[in-house]
This record gives sequence, C-alpha cells and structure tokens, in this order.
Amino acid sequence: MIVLHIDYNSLKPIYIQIAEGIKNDILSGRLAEKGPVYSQLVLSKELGINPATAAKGINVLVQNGILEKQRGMSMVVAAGARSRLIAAKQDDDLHTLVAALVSAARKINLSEDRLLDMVQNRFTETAPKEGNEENE
Amino acid sequence: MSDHKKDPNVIRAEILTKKYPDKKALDNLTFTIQGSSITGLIGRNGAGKTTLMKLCAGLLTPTAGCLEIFGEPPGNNLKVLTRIVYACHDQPHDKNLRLRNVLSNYQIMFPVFDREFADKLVSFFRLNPKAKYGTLSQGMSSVFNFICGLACRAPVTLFDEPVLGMDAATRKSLYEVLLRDYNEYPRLILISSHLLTEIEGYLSDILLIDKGRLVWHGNIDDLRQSAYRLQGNVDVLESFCAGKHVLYQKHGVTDNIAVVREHPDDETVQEAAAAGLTLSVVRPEDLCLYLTQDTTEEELECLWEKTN
Repeated sequence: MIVLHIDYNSLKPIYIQIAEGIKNDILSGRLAEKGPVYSQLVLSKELGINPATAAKGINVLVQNGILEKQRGMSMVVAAGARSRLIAAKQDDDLHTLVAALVSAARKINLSEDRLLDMVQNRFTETAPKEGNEENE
Repeated sequence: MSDHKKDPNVIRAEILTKKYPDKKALDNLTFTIQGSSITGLIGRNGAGKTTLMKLCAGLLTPTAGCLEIFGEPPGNNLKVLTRIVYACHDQPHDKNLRLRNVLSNYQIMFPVFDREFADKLVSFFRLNPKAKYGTLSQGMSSVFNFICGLACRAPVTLFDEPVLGMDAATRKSLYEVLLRDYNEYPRLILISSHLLTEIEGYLSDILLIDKGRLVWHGNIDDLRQSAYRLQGNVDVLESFCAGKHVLYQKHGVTDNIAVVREHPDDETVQEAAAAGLTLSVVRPEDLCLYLTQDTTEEELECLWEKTN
C-alpha cells in the first residue's frame, strides 16, 4: 500500500521524509481529502521505523493543518489540503528554479540587474498578445 | 496518595561509577531515560555497556554514585527486579535444561511472562522446545535468549548484544518482532549492538558511551542532524572547515574527506555546493565511530614498519 520510502543516506530527517511521503500521497490523490491517513502503527510496521519517529512525521502535518484529528476517530486529511499543497509545491518549485537561475548567473558573473532585465524581457516577450493568440 | 509514587524517570544514573579490581568500567555516568523508548546503547568493546546493563538489572552494585530504576535502587529490591529483565546472547542457564523448562523458569520469575507468546516465538524462529540449552549454536542461543527477554514484557527490558552470531535473515526477523511487540506493549527497551546501521530505524534514542563515560545521549534524529561529511578538493575543504569543529579528516590520493560536527543547515548546504564540495549525511554508526575512535592513521602505518 505505502509507497513511502525511507532514505537513511539523505540529509533529510526521517520524520520529515515521512511527512513529505504523506504529502506526496495527498498530492497524487492516493490519500483523499477528509479520508483516513496512515496511522502511526501502520507507518511503524510497514516502514520498520520507531513509532515515535512516525508520530513526529504525522505531527508536522497536523501542525500545518494538512492533517487533522477527528473527534473519536483517527487522523484524516484536512479539507482543502490538496489545493494548499499544490500551491505550496508550485511555490517550492519556483524557489528551486530561481535558486538555480541565480547560481547559474553567479557562475558567469552576470550582475543582478542584468539578470532582472532578462527576466523582465522574458515577461514582456511572452506576454499574452491582444486577441489571445498563442505565440510559438 | 496511592502507594506507588509516579516517577517519570525509568532509569536515572547520577555520577554512576563502577570499578573492577583492574579497571574503571563506568566513570561518573549521568543520564536519565524517561517513558517508553527503544534506546540503542552504543559503544566499543570495553566501553561499559554490559556493566551498565548489569547494574540496571541489579546484578552488580555501583562503586559510587546513584542508579535508580523507577525511583529505587535495583539491587536486592524484588519490587523493582520483577520489572526488569536482562537478556544477553548467552545467558548462563543450565546447559542440560530443555528450552521449554527454561521458559517455565522465566514464568516463575516474571509474573507477566507471556508463555503463549514465548512458545509461538520458539516455533516462529524454528527452535525445538525439547532441545537442551547447551546444544544450541551461538546464533540459536541468541535467538532463544531474545525470546525469553521479550516475552517477559518487563517495563525495563535490557538486550545485551541480542543478535550475536545470527544470520542476516534471522536478525531482520528479530528486529521486526521487536518493533511490533514494542508497538503492542510500549516499554523501555535498551539494546546494545555493534550493528547500528541495521537498527537505526527502529531506535528512538541513542546512549553512546566510551571508556565508561557518556559521550552522547538523545534522540537519534538529533544525532543524525549534528554532523555532516564533506568531500572535495583539499584546499577548498580546508578553507571551508576553518574554524569549524572537525571530527575526522582524511587526505588521500583518491579522496579528501572531512567530518564536521555541526548541523548542516540550508545555508551550509548551499555554501558547500557553491564551493564545489559534496556534502552528505553521516550515518549514526559512522558518527559514533568518529566520536569514539582513538587509533590514528599513523599508528596503522606503523604496524608494518620494521624497528631494527
């Protein structure tokens, strides 16, 4: 069932890997909003990890509202969690791209102003034209 | 007030010292373990792991300092001793006893010993309950002693080198059994092993000792986050490491490595990447090794030098 995978050679703490694994399963739709999420015991058993580590991973997601405890029931995926994760992921992806862009610019000693110019030009070049025709 | 005052400290050691005639096995050890956990007791040969466990189990008495289990010293204290089990890979049971009789003895000693579970484990691990204890191989003896220790369901369970002599498949089964039983019956499990990489996922905490002294105690994730390894050009490496706490370094022909005792935060990761250095995680087993290693490359080289 679980496609989560723990990489002990990663710099990422194990509990963060668990939190990210659950996030990915929400993004992919494997875990549905308002539906149940893997319990601490299931994670511990199937991944062969200490239950405290599993709990720590789950708690990260409870704290940022991705998961919620339902009264009398187990943990569920919060309503709206998926769209929030998608937005956050887009933010993350852009961050990564910008970081790569800046470090590429540094490597060739491109100034900040020049880089910003290039970004601006790109925006202008690709701005939607009147009439909405798509430009190749 | 009820008669049993709740002490959150399961084990509390304060400047605990144990001397043998020829050596100091434990030297001013201070730590507390609270609540339930699977704690790895890590250390090199002669670090004092077995001594510490035997002190906890009331099998030895401290030379100085204080050791309390559930708020009371374990020695000669039946109330505490029925809640602690010490299981080492070759317990000194009567060699002529059959396994099922050894289990019966445990049943007498430990009120909560789960005989049904023990019998199931004996068959799960393909042991013959009619076999005599003395006929078991090292690996089988380890398995059997693990079973005895686990089925006691003691609030303090001490496993001293439980996997010694076991093949890889048996070790894997043992770890799974341990983890699942812990999930069913959370308690304090202290486990010593030289194969930390095999068990790191199962552990929540690490207690690292060296030469009878405490080196590190805490959450295993924190240990993982407390150092990083760098690889790359020797000059870049040295300038990057300047002013940092370098635990280990090796400048070789093929590779230059430095292990830095510092949390690898995002900034450090980016700086290392920008400098062209490869930054990677230091597995707890390696980190424990770096923290306790006392031989040097020079000493190693000396082994083959001829002294006329």
